[in-house]
Amino acid sequence: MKTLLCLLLSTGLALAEEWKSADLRPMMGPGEGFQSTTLVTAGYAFIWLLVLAFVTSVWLRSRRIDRELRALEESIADPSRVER
Amino acid sequence: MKRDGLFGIAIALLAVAFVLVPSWILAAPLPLNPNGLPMAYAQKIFYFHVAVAWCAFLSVFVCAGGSVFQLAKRSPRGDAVAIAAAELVVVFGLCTLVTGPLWARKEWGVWWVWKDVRLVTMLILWITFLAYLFVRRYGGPGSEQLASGLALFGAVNVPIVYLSVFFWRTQHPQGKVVGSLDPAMRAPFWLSLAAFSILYGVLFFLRLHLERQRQRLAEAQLAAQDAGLVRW
Repeated sequence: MKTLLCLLLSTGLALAEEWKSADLRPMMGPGEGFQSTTLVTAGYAFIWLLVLAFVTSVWLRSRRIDRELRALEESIADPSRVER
Repeated sequence: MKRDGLFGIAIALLAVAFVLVPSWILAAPLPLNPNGLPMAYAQKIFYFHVAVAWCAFLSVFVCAGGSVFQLAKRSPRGDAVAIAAAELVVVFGLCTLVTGPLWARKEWGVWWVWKDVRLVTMLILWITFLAYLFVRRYGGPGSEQLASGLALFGAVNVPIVYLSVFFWRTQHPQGKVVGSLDPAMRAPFWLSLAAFSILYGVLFFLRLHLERQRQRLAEAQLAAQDAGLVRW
């Protein structure tokens, strides 16, 4: 029984050393979770909001050009109808 | 229909990037600092910050290339490339200028250091391209030439921004950061860089398509007016 306990203990200690030294790193540094998370979220959200605003702006400008093109076509077809 | 298709592809790519890239990057293990402890979680900003700065620099050179064509050959296509790229310099430059201080607050304890040459030259670069857009918007006839000059001036500033850490003592780390990346940082870093480069490409072609549409409309309006087909 003593031998078994010693074996389990030594295996456990060896595994603990292995985990400590290798891949099992915590995802966040000690004592700095909330503020770091806020900064990362704020930075990433800012980038995506700006990109979405840019895409929306391009889309709206593209629609305006389409409207102007239609107005030009109408004015060519019937010059008396559209005056600018 | 063509425009709707383009916007559909753009939105789909944005959505994929919106889900995949942050999932990978935020789940990647944190690298260790010189003391052997994991870095602060704010280190994740590095992946976005460097990628958007890369897109801003790339866009500066694209804008400068278009401007050279515009100046040398009065090429409308070159002009369209230049103005599309200039808008993206402002977008990605602003992202760089916002994400940098967020990281600096955690890493250095301050939002901004006016004595840091890299920060200040990056701000000057961004203002230069903001000026480019103002000149194009309100400069009237001939503003293309002046704006092209501004774009070339901005392109000269890029090597100064990049090399400033070698010539002056700054808060930014000296040396080649990308070359000396921790192995845990390599995969998320390159993935992020690739994703943002694709994003840049999509946004650039959307904006370029818009500018070419605008130029064609202006040409059609002039032609119709010259031919007496419309009354203005």
